[in-house]
Amino acid sequence: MSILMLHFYFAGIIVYGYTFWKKTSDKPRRLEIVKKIILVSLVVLNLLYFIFRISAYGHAPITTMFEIMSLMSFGIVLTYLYIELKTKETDTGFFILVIAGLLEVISFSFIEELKEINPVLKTWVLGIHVSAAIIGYSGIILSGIYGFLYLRLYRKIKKNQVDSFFKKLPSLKLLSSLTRSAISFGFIFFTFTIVQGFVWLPKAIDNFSYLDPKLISSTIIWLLYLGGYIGIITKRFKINTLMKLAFAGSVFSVLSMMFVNIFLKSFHNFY
Amino acid sequence: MSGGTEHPFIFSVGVNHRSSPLEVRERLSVSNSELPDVLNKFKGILDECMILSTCNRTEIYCVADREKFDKELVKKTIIDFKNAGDITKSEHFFEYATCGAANHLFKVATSIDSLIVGDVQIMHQLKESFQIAQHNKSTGKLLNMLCQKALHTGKRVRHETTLYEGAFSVSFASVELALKIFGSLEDKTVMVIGAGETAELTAKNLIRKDVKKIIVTNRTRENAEKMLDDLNKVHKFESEVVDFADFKSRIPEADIIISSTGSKDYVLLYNDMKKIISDRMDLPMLIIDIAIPRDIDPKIDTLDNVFLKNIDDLEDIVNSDYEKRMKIIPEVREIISQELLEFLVWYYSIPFLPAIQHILKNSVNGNAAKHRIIRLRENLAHNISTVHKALMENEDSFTSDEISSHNRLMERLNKIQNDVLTHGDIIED
Repeated sequence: MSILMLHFYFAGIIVYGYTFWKKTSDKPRRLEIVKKIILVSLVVLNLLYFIFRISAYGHAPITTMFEIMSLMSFGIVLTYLYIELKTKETDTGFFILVIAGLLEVISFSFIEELKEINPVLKTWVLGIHVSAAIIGYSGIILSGIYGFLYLRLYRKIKKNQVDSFFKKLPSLKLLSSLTRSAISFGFIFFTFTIVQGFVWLPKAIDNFSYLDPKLISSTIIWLLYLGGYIGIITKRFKINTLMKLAFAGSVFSVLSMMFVNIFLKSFHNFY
Repeated sequence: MSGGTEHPFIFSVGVNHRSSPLEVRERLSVSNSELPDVLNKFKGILDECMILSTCNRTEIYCVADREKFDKELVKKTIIDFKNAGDITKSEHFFEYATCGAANHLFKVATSIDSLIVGDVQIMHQLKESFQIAQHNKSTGKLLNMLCQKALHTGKRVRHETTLYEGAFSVSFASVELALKIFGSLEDKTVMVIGAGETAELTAKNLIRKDVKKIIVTNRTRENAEKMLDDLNKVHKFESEVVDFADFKSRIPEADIIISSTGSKDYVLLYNDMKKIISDRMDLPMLIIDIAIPRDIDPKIDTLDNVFLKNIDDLEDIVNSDYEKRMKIIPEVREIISQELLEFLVWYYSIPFLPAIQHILKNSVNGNAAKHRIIRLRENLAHNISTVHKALMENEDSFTSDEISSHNRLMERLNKIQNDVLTHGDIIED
């Protein structure tokens, strides 16, 4: 199942990439249908994969970093499908699928089932906590991709560089709107995760500590996005500044979480 | 008729986007109101003269005796008239003669030499320049025929190809840019500063994209009102004429500005714009400066979320459809080739009028005379097409090559002419 899923990721990257990088701007209807089929198939395959995995192992796929990566990849694809259906814009799909596909490849290469599963992982409250966190991070990653694309297109327009980026990307207005929506979307789920974590984790975990590295890094990321969210609502940030923050925030979030998960010990790791 | 050098030459000397930078083109740009004065300056130097001056080119088409023609004097005359000696060099000018000059004008008329291939405005501009030169009595038989043929070629391209479809022009580029920045234009306000033809065309294309409001300002209020009346014929929209003295106070309302005044100084300065942008709460603004010389302080482009584009910038935008237009160019070249050959046959036939008259006068048999004239014309066409073919294969030939080609052709044609005058018929080699 996971191999089939990987094939669909590659197919998606190739088809979305071809339509983005090809010279002409026309959008053949057949290719657009193929893109939609691949995207929907990816969502369905991801869903089936997690259903089978949960049935086979009897726990939510959140026991290792690589299971979480796979879940994150699913979150990104699912969020992108929603955006594509809402905006009818298919030209940013290549960049989204490259990130989602990369997470899936890493996950596929290193994923393994643990012999012992922490009992806390079998509680439904943790399932909600992790799911909300994954959706929150998906929003953050998407906002980073859209922020990056906005900055690229902005530069292309300023410099009169008419290439695939210029021709194929949607308008600056749509990209900025997608970035804001992704930040807001991610922030709301991330807030829920943080609040639920602060309320529930001290009761559920014996060695809970407010100085836990993952808790601190998550709180820092949340505070950063709180600032960004307030900036969006109060319109205090310049558009370009917001886009730079979205990109930098996304990179910082991913790197800091990777660093904490790989190099630091945390009660927050259940494996 | 003795030597080929007596046949008048057609020359073309000028600056365009291929030969010179924007600053030089700006300085050498000649407005329609200045054209008669410049044409008069050339009256003593050239036999015939027509000047085509647009935002991208100032080109002098002229007829003169080759021995007397002084291209440096022509260049100096226009440079002095525009007082542009400080930045303009002789190397900024291109030079063509005879077939090359005619070929160049045909390429200009069909827009395949334009900065924006497919820009139909060049035909209107050529027509206007030709009419001004005619009115000024600066043109004669040769330039009249050349310009009419060039305009006819442009019309053929318009009717027989799809080169002009999709309006690949400055106005099209501006609309594309606006869509790339704003997405939909339905809630956008456009301010037009000045009432030039290109500005009006750009505004028309924006109206077709359903912009919300158009504000027009011009030093002459009547011109602004007339432009709005014309635009209202395209589509109904919210509109307003603003006094030129007040337009800066209304800029914060505008999302798109199109500027094309005839002002010699900037009408919008960096410091004005810096304050306006902060008042607009960082909303993006697109400024299209199609004026020559430029209307908008270039430093404004350094402001965040302000996209300032001049004529040269727009080239990059339009070239996004470069491939599509390039596919049509061979068709256009074929039409140019046909029309150019017809023109050249006419051009090189001028000295043969005495020979034709000689045949008619000395022939007792009408049919035989007719046959000889047909043979003469066929021979002319054959010889001319040989040179013409060589020219079309190597369009970038230099003036010296063109002159030698012309001279070689004239030698061959003179032999035919002498044969007719001496022997009453063409003597085969």
